[in-house]
Amino acid sequence: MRPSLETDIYRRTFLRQGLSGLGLFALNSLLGQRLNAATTGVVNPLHHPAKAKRVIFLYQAGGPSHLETFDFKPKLAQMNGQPMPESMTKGQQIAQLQGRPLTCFGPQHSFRRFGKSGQEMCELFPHIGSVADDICIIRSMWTEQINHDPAHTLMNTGSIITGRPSMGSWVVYGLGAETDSLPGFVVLASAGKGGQMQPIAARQWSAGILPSRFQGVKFNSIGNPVLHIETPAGLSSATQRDSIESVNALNRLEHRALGDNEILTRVAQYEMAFRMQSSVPDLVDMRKEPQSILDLYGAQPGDGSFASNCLLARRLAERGVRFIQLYHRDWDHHSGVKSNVAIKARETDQATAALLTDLKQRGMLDDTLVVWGGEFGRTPMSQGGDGRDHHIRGFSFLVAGGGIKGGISYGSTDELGYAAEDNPVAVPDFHATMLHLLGIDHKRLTVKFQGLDARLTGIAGEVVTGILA
Amino acid sequence: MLPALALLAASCFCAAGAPSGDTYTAAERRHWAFQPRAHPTSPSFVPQTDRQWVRTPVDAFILARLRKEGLKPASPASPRTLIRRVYFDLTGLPPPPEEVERFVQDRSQDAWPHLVERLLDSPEYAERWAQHWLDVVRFAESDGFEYDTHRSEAWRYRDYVIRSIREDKPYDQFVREQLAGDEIDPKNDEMLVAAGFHRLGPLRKNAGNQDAAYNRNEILVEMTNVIGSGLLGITIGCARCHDHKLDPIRQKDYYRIQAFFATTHQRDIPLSSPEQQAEWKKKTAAIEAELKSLRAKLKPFPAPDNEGLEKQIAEKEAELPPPLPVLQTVEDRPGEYIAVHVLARGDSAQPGEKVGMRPIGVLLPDDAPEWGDQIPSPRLALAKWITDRANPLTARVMVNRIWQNHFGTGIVSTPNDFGRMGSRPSHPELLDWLADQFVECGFRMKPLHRLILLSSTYQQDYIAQAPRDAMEKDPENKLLWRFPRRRLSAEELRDAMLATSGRLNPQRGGPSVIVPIEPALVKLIYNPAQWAVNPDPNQFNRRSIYVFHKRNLRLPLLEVFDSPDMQLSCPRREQSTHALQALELLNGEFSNAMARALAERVAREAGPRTDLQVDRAFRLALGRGPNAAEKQAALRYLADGGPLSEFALAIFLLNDFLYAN
Repeated sequence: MRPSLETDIYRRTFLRQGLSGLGLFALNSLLGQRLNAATTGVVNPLHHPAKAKRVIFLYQAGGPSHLETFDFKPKLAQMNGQPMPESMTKGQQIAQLQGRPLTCFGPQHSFRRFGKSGQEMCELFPHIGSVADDICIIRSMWTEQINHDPAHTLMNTGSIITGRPSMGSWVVYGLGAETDSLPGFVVLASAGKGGQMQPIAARQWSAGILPSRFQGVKFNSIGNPVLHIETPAGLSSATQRDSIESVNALNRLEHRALGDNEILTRVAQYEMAFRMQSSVPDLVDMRKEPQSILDLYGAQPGDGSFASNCLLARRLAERGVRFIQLYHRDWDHHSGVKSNVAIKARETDQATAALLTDLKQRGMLDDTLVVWGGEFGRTPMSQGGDGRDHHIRGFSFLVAGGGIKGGISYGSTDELGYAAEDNPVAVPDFHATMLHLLGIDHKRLTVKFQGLDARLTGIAGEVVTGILA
Repeated sequence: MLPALALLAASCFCAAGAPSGDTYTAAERRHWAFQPRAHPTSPSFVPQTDRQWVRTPVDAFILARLRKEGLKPASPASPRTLIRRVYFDLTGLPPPPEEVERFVQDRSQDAWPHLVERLLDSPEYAERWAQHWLDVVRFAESDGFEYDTHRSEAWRYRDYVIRSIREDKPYDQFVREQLAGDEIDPKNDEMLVAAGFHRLGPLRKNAGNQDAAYNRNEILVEMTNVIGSGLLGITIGCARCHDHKLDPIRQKDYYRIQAFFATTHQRDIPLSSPEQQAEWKKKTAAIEAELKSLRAKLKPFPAPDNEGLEKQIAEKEAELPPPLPVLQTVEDRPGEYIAVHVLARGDSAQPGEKVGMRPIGVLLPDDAPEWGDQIPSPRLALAKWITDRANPLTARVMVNRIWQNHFGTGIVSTPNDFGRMGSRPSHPELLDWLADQFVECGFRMKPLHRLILLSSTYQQDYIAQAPRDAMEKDPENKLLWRFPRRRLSAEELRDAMLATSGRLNPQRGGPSVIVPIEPALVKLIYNPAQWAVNPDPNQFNRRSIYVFHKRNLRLPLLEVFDSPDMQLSCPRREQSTHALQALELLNGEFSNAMARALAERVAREAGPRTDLQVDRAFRLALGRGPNAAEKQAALRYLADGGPLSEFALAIFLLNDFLYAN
C-alpha cells in the first residue's frame, strides 16, 4: 500500500474528531472521483425528445366504477332495472355475476360539465372538475383480467406471467434516476374507509427479471417511511457516519487491491443509504409546507391518507424521483356502490386536483405525467341490487401533464358503458404511450430473458397519438 | 441420425398408438443439447508444467481451452483464501478461525482433499446444497397470491431434500421419487412427501371467478413448467400458447406432457387424529356462527356502529383455529380422468384437439406415437424417460447446476434454458464429460464435487491485476483464467452473521420457524395473524433454510440480498448492490443484534486488550487478522471511545465479509 493512501486512511478511518469539520461530500472529493448513485439508464440518448421526465401514478386499487366517476351513461339510467341486452353480455367473462340474471343498474350519482372544455364528470368530483381543462379523460380503457391480483399484475407489468418487471422498474431501468439521495422508483399506499380491503402484494412493484436495484421501494405512510431509516437508539448520526466512512475507506482499499467495480457500486450505495437517512426525514418533514398548501391538499401530515401521499408525491417529484406510484385501496364496491363511491370521492377528489394545481404552479406539470386509474372498471349490471361486479371491457383513466392534451375526452364505451367502442385503449397501448412521453420507444426498451427480448408491452402496444399535446 | 431416445421410445412398455405425424427437420434436431453426449476423452499435454497443473481431468478441459486462446491460468490461491471459499461453497458458513489456522499450518499433501472430504460429510453441506435445489423447484411454505395460505407441513419436503443430499441419493432416484413417489410406494410416507414436489408451486385462489377448468389448468401449468425448466432445461412453458418460437417444441408437446397428469389429483392427508379433527370442526363452527351474526349486523353503508363491529369481527377471526396440518401430496385416481386438450392461446375456455401423454417429440423418432390417455403409473413412466441414461438433457442440466454452484456461472450460463436462445456451453466437451461421469457414478453428486474441488481450476486465485490479454479476450472470465469471486447469497450472509457472533442455533430439521419481522410489514399481509412468531427466541437463530418461507413476506434482510421470490424456478441468484442493503445492515435489528453479540463474544474470548479484540473480530468474521491500516484505524477508533459493537457492525459491512474470494 502506498504510504500516502495509508495516511489518508489513518486520518479519516474510525476517527471522529478528525472528521468533525469535514462533511461527507468534502471527503468524497478528497478521495477523488465522486461516486454517483444517480445513474443514467439504458436509453441513452433518448429515442426521441421527452415530454415528461417523471410519472406520478395515482393507482385506485379495487376497480373504480367508471359509471360513477368519469363515464356518464344516461341510457343506462333509462334502462335501470331492465335486463341487460343479451347480445351484449353473451359469452362474456364476468366474475361473481356468472350465471345470475343481469339487470341494468343506472348511474348512482349525477354528472355535470366542468371547465371551458365542458368535460363531463360525476358531481362527486368537483375539485377534479375544477382542473378539467388540464385533464384528458380516457373513457375506453380495457383489460384482460377479471380478478384483482392478475389484473394488477397486467396493469403493472403488461403481462400476467409472474416475474415480469413493473412499469416503474422499466422506466428507471430505461432512464436512470435524477437523484442519488432517494431511490428512483418509490411506492406509497393508503387505505380509506369503506369497501373491501384488497392487499397489494410487493410483486406489483417488483423489478422481476431486471436487477433488483430497479425495484420499487415502498415508503410507509405512517411512522418511518423507510424500513431501518433511523439510526438505532443510542447511536448518534455522527458515530454512524464515522462507521460508514471507515467502512467505505476500507472498501475502497479493497477495490484498489481487487479491482472489482461492484465494490465501488457498494461504496456509492452505502453513501446513498447514509444520505437517505437525512433526505427521507427531510422528505416527510411537512413543517416546511405552508398551511395553505396543506389546506389545498386537505392533508394532515403523518395521517397516512391519500391526500398526504399526494403531497409526498409532489415532494418526491421535486427531489428527482423518476416514478412515483400511489396506491389507494378500497374501490372494490360489490355492494353499496352509491355510498362507497361517495366516500372514495371525498378521499381522492380534492387531493388529486391539488396535486395537479400544485405541480402547475411550480411549473412542474409540464414535465410530469400524472395518471389516475385502477386495474379495471365495474359492471353496468347490478350486483345484489346496490353494487357492481368487476368489469374488464371498458373503464376510465385520467391523464394529465407531461405531453398530454388537456381538456379532452378520448374514446368511449357503448351507450350502456359496457364495452370500449371508439378508440379502445388496451393496457399495452397505455404503457407504450407513457414510455413515448418519456422519450422511449417501447419497442426498443428491452431486456434479454430466456433468450428473447422481453419488453413492457410484450408483442403489443400502440402509442395513443390522439391524447398527445 | 438416430435421436438419442429412439431406443427408449421403441422399447416403451406402453401400447403404441397411431403415428403422430410429428416430424422434425434435420436443422431442428441438430441443436447441441438434443444430441447424444459425445463421450469425449480428456485432452493430454506434453509440457511438464501443464501436466503438473492438471490434477483432475476437469483441468485438462479448462487448460486446453485457455491454451487455445493463448491464456494461462492464475496462480494457486492461498490456503487462507481456499478454506473460506470452500467452506462457503460446501456449507454456506464461514470457517471457524481455529480451522483456518490448522489448515494454513498443515503442509501435508492431502490437507486439501481431507478438508474437502470432511466438509462433504458434514450435515451443513446438505443444508447448503438443499437450498440450491429448493431454488430450482421454487420451494415455499405458502400459496402466494392474494390469500397466501400457509402450508404448515411443507418443511417435510425440505427435510426430505436435505436427507437425500446428505446421503448422496442418486439423482435419477431423487427425480423419480419427486415425480412419482406415490406411484412407487403409496404406503411409504417418505415417498408421499417427495411427491409433494407437485404441490410446491404458487397456487392462485380467487374469491371471485371460480372456473374449474381454468383452475385445473393453472395447476397443470405449474406442474408442467417446472419439469421443463427445472429438470430438462427447456423453456417448455413457452409452448403453452403456441408452438415454441425458437425451439422445436410444439404446442402439442406441452399438452402431451400435461397429459401425464390427466389422472393426477391433489391429495391432502390429515396429520391429526379424528378426535382433533372433530374438536377443530366444533370450535370452528362455533366461531363461524358468531361471525355470521356479527357480519349480519354490519350496515352496507357507513354507520356509527360499523367500526366497532369490524373490530369485533377481526378479533373473532383471529380466534379461528389455524387449519389442521395436512400433508400435501398427489395421487392417481384413474376413475377421475380429466382429458387434456391443446388450448388455443393457453386459454382453458378454448379447448382444441385432445392429446395423450408423450415426451417431447424432438427427442423421439419422427411420427412417434402417443403413449396413451391412461396408463398405469403415468408419472413414473415420465420419470423413467427423464432419468434414462441416454436422455441428453437431464444429466447435462444437473451437472451444469453443480458447476454453476461451484463457480458462480454454469458451463451453460442459462441453466434453465438449454434451448437455442439459451447460451451455448463455454466448454461443451467438459459438459459432456462431466455428464458421462455423473451417469457412470450412478448419478451421485459427491464424486462430481471431488472432481471439481480437487482441480487446479478450482484452487486458482482471484487475481486482482488481471492480465491485459485475458481481459481483452475473455472479460467475463468464461474460460476461468482466474477464480470468480462471488457475493454471498442472502442465506449465507445471515448464517455467517449468526456463526460469527456465536449465536447460530445448529438444530436441524423440523417445522420452520416464524421469526419476528417489523410489524409494519406484517400488517400488509392478507391475514397478519398468520405470522405467529415462534415462542422460543432461541429458534430465531437457526439457519436460514429453517426460517419459514412465506411467499408474500420475506425477511427484509434476505429480500434485499436477492433471495428469490419463489414464484418461478430460480436458476441463479442475482448479486445486486443497492442502498436498502446498507440500511438493512446499518440499522436493522438483526444485524445490530448480531453486532452486539459479536462484540460480547470478542470481549469474552479476547479479554480486555483492544488489539486482541480487533484481531479476534477479524479472524471470526474474515478468517484473517487485520492488515496494518485496518488495525491502526480500528485501534484508534476504540481508543477514542468508539463502541465495540459499532466496530463489530462495521466488520459486517465490509465488502470482504460479503464476498468469498
